Amino acid sequence: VVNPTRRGLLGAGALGALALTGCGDRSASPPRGGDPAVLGTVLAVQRELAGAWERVDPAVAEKLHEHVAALQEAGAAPGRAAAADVQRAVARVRGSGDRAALLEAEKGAGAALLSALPQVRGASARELVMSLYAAGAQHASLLLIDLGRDPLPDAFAGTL
Amino acid sequence: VITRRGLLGAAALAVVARPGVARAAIASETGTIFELIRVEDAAGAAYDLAAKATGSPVLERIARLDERHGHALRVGLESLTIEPGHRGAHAEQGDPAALALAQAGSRREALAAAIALERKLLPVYVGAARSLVDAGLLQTVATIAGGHAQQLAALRNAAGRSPLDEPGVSAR
Repeated sequence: VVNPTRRGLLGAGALGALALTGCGDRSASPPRGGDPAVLGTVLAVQRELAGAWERVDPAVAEKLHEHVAALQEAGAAPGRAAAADVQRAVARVRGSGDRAALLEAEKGAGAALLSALPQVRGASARELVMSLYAAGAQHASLLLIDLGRDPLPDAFAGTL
Repeated sequence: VITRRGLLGAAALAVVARPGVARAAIASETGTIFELIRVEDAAGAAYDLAAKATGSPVLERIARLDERHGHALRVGLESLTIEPGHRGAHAEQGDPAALALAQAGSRREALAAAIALERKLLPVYVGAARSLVDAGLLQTVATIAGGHAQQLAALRNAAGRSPLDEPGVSAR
């Protein structure tokens, strides 16, 4: 998940304020293809996860299919690919005993969504990606519980 | 050498130099972050009280996590050269769902109130995405939203329910 350090946050914020007053805004540059392209990458991630969850817990897979439908409705571009680390982790999920690999896939997906979020311009699309990120975090906790591990990792550990 | 103080000072000077442009953009999100700090402080204070009253380790753990969420949000405001202030006394009284948790009389009641509180907090965080501009703030708020989704799962699990209760997803 995200690891913002106090120094990093302060530095980024201060530099952002400088940029804001000088020549631009503090949001990330949009990629070619705009929101449909960013949402298309998020859709590819959700589709990979849906396939993996089908082999572990179909009830969660059903939620992922709902995510895919919501992204399509929001105008996500088809034909994009998920990040390579997500694809590699998903490929290791062959059955219900592969929860650790699925957890790695969820972590990779979380990082991908967190990095996509500031690139999204539309308010509704941004809210959608935020909700998908939160849902993914919950799925990770579900896996942590199943694996007998702490379901409440501190995302800010050692950074504040 | 770039120091924290130097960066903050330079940013403050730049804001002063172009007040109209900077103020308009920053104002769109500072109100949102202050509101998130308010609800986070209320939740943290309520978890603190409920943990002391029930001795529940999961409530105690979440009290500490919410404290860190509040700190992360304050650091985000500092990065915009805005002084966020500290958590006030009796912060739990600022939110009805938090107050219900603070006043829970048993572990069972506290878990039910905590689940209700988390279900209320999640949409507040997800909805904040609409008004945030700064990339770093957006990612900080997303991380905290993920934390609350996980807290909801852990609380449901502690209450003997299915952990899965993800936030509503739609393309509104």
